[in-house]
Amino acid sequence: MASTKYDAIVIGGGHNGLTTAAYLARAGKKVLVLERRHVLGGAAVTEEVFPGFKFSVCSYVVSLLRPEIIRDLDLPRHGLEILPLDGTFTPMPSGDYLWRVNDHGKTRREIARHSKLDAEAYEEFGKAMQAMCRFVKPILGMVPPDPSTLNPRELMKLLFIGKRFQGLSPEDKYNQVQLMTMSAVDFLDQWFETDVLKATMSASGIIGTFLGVRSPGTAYVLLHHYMGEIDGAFRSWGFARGGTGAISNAIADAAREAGAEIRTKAGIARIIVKNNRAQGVVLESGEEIHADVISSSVDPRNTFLRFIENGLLPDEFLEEVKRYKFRGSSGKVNIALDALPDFKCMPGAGLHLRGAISISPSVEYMERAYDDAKYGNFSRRPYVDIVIPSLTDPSVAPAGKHVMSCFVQYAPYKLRPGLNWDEQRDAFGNNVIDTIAEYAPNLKNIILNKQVLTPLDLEREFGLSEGNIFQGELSLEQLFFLRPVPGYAQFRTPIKNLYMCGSATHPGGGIMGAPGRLAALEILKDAKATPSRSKTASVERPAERVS
Amino acid sequence: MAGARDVVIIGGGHNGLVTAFYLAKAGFKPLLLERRPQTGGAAITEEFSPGCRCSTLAHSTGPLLPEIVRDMELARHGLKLITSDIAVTALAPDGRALMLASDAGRAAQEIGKFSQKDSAQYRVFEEALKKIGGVIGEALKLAPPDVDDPSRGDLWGMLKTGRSLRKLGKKDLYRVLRWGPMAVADLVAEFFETELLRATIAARGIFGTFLGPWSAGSSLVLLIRAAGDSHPAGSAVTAAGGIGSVIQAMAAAAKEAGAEIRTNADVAEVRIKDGAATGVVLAGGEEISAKAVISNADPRRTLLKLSIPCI
Repeated sequence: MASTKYDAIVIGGGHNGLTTAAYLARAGKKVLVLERRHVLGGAAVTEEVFPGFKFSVCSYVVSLLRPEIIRDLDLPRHGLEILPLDGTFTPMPSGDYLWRVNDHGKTRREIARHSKLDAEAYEEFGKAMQAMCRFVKPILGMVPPDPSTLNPRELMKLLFIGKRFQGLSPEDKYNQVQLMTMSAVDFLDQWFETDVLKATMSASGIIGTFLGVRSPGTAYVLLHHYMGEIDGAFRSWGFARGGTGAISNAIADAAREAGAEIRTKAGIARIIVKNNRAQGVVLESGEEIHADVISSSVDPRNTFLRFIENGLLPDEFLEEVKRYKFRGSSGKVNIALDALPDFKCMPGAGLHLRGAISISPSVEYMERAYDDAKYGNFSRRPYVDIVIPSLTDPSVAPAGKHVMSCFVQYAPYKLRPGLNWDEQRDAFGNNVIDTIAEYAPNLKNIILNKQVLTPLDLEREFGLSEGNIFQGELSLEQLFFLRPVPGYAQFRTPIKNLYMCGSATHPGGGIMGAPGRLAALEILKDAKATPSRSKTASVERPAERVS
Repeated sequence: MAGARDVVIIGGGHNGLVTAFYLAKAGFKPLLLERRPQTGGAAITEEFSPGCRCSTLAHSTGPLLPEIVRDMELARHGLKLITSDIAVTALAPDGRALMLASDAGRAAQEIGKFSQKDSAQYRVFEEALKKIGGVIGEALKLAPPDVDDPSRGDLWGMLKTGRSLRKLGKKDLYRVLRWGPMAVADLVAEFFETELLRATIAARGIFGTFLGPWSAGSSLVLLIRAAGDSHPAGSAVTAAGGIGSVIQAMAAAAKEAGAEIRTNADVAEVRIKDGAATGVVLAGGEEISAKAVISNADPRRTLLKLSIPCI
């Protein structure tokens, strides 16, 4: 086995690593994926945590999976099936609620119940957001330009964005500028007056960031959220049948079919670098595996500070890696239920339980949740996004039982001095239960088991530094050509033949697959420009490419 | 329109006075109308207690553009700016104090008492701020371009800004792009370890905004302030006689250039006909017609309170 040499090794078997592997394998490369855990998927994983209950342990819904990936890799044939997640239900302490569904007419009537003006504005808002999405979407599929060079190819990319911007209508231009700079709440304030509507919509602006709904810059994340909703391939948000892990499994299947090899329980100890060129990896077991190209889908802290020996990277680059911000701000509580929760404001097992249930009753509630986090506490009353996938996909729970997946924000990775997550885990979990029970009091009586994941657990178990679900904050200073490190946003690194292909690269986290695909395309482009070393082993090629 | 003035300027704050000066200098006959008994707006000196004269609102001149000081010959008109050797003294609850001198070298030395690392970093930070602030300063001097339909002048301005950005070099160019959207607390934490120093510099990023130091975008506030004054914590520049002296000098310069200034002249309405401003009506009922009306009041007052189109 020691003699086997690969064209490419992908570090990490999350959905992005697997996507890179699938694209490379389809291009005829001999690819090996190495996953540290016993199961593939990274944070897009399904695990049977309690007998009969299959949890989408971390990531739990999908909307942004790139249609071109679904098409290129023929994922439906490999078992991917997306089931619709219809609507968002927000219970309110007053006993009222806000329930938006995919049906426009119904949602309009429901919003009109709160405010006639808002019902009108909602339509307009949808149209404006669509225009914004059309502007931003191609950017998700492009390799970020390097604005610091005068290379014509890079300038063309900037020009392309500039021309698209010029193509927007005047209002859309200003909307776009506002979106990039304003807070989610300030932006929504311009459209709506219903507090609960603004609170629930603003929630998507803070997910995975250490920002509050009133923090500037959060409006842009709203757009990210909206983008999935108008994607051609799948309408709206959805679940994967069999849990989120099914997405990773489908991609893995596509990769294997194309010839990729995938190994689990194969943690990396170090990347082998010689003459500033990545040449292979050493596993935790001591096994050495060689390859022409190494692509790391784990985050930059792991890749560059753990896997690369000291002294091999330029100081300035290391500085930038060290200042790349993770700051996980969320946790997860997965609950095995004996029956369905019964909401005071809408009793019974209605359709409202099949969508997302959002604990976001007011803008002030959301901002107060952030206040707690700013000073190193988990939110006393957190924002919780709840889904019950077992209602749509009965295969994930025993008959008559249910799985409830609760995404919780804020849970700051760094607690205030004197507190640590190992001691706070139970209190955190119970606090989430208490919060939901205020709206659905029967919850405490129907819990069979629960799994509580703190940001520290996300770091330890899933290798997400500081528990950040997006491999680094999605804040403006860490997006596009600044992600993850200014000057290194094009998936390449200071070490030749070492690439990045995870969520820490453009366009960022969420089950998109876009970083994995873009990285693979760049790797293939380089491979074409410099024929593989294995074929020209005796000839040391000059390091500089002629352009 | 017989008897119409060239230009009426609403509001005798410092911006109104500067506008009046430049227009008068170009040969117009601007009339500046101020509601209060004295010009100055928020830049005034008042005797609030017998013998004690205070800059009632703004108390330092901030980034008064040097070319305006020069063009208006404010020194000749009596302005004496005083720059303190000490820019700011930050007080810590434990009884210690951090005194930041205007001179970067001395400031760095003082910081050394708190942290040697920060002392060295201070020079680096100051240099970066100077370079980046300079570029932003150039951009601030341009009228904002019309993004819908940029004129040739707009394009030229953007091109010039683009060129000076490029001249920064790769490292500082990326700094501008990365720093702008950041929280100022994160920015200062990248440079310094002393909490008191961090807070003192971060204060510039929240000054006058509804942001906290942990709010994204507060770095940009710091950078914009650095455009006029690259001292990390802001220089302490005051005018002899209080901030009102700046206004007195400006008013004198504007008058000398040919502008007319009327105080106790409260504009109640901007007259608008066929989509064009035709003059103003004062609270007393006096009508003043003009070929152009320029407002130095905020947009809410100007457009929602004062402008009533008479069709």
